[in-house]
Amino acid sequence: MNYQDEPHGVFFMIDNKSFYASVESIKRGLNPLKSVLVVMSEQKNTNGGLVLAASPSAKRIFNIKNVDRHYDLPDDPKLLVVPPRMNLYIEKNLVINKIFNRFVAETDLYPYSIDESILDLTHSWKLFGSSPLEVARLIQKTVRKETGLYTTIGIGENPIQAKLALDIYAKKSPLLISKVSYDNFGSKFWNITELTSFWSIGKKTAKRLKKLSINSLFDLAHTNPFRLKKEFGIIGTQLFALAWGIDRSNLCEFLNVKNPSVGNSQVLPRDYIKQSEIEVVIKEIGQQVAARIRHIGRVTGCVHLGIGFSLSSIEHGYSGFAHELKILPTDNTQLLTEQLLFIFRSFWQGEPIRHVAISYSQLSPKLGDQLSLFENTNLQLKKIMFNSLIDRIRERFGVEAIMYANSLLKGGTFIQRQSLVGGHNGGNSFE
Amino acid sequence: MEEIHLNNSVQEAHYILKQVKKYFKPGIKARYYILVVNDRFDHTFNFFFNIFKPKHFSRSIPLHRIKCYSLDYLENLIKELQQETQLTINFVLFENQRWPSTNQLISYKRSVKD
Repeated sequence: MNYQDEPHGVFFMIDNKSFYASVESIKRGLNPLKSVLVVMSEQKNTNGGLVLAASPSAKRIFNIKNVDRHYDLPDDPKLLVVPPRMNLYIEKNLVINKIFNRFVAETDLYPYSIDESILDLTHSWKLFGSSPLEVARLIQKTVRKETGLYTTIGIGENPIQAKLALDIYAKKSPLLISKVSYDNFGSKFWNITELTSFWSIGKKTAKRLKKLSINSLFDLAHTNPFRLKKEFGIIGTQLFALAWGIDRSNLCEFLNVKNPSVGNSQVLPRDYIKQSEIEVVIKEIGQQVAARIRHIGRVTGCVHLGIGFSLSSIEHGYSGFAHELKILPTDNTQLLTEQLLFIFRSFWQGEPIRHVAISYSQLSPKLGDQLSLFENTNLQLKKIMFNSLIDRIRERFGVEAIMYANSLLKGGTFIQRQSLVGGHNGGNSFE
Repeated sequence: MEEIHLNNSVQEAHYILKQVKKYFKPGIKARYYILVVNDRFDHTFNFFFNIFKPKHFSRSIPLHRIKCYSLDYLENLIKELQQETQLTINFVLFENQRWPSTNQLISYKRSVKD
């Protein structure tokens, strides 16, 4: 492969080692690498408890993995179980990104997740050391000194190389750093046969690749790209590029999303069987998403409802249903929830459900309120003012300051969800 | 979410006690203590309620974070706490530091090794 025309930069992918568990260890005066600690969410919808993060020692000694359940944990007093504090982790992530900002311009720093960031050091690494490796050590030491956290760094000539260096090698290397370039990409990755260990290849994609007799990255790199495109569409060409360590993405380029949408979803704390209870949740989420589109000054022309059945009731391979409905553009809560309930009542056949997802797409700027000729004008104006009043009260006094009375009904989850961040305890109640 | 505004060490001590009461559930052969950590990174004193039970994993529940990073303040708060509870209070990362009023060492134990 001729890499001459490919981008040759210096990219760091930096990950915080066992982030949540490390933050909790430091808060307790423990060394993050030596503490035996897990962060466990015990929300009602986690079946007694879900491990969000385990410290490296907990993983090594007890073989605990993230997303393990409460009942998987060993009955050993050496293991310390702590509740999550999502707001604290967000706070720490901001502090760490501020440290990264000392090494790159703001435009060259891309937070990738709560514990991962991409740094484009192409133009700035020479200011901080004689080699990218030296700069990586300096970043690690700075973060450790100022926050106590350990960071793992993958270095590559483009973002995908940095990501693969991080995922496959850096986490296991003694210095917690690994470097990959076009020159050594093949020798480092081609012999790995576990395809799911590579970024962007999940179980289903790996299965489909195996059907094509592709069992390693070497096989993938030596498959005709047109055959891959035929099988996987545009993603096939992306997979081919991945196998050669090629990434032409320009991170500072602003992406125009073709059809943006706003949505929320939730896993229910138990199987919901009664129609009235399910409808309360649909209304609650529908109202929440409606308030979000009003907040950004948009109206929606399409509502989407996804329902996931309880695992115990899945028959004939159907795990749920998802449908969308085109509507006249609106941001009116009542109209939107009416449409959602219409979809639900049209397709639900009494199955117990565990998951509800709602999103509004085909968003367009709100230019004014369109009144209908077929409805009473005063009534329509009243509804518009009502929604706007609720939004203003919530903006000023908090979301939980006012709520629909149906949230007090059995099945309502609105009140319980107010203290959650990303579905887990925000941690404010511990402050 | 409720914002907590506490102005003095007495109020903060009472808030910590309220939190302890919330999480304290008597158990057979269980051990409980309050952990106070000197957080040198964020300049706060972090309070936790630790619970150990035989043949069971242990738990550590955050109680409160004291933002007033002063030993005088902490000493008053601890005095208030000790008047109200007999629970053991363990101090971590206070090596060689002494209580301002008595000059006694806060903790004799070395807490953490890097």
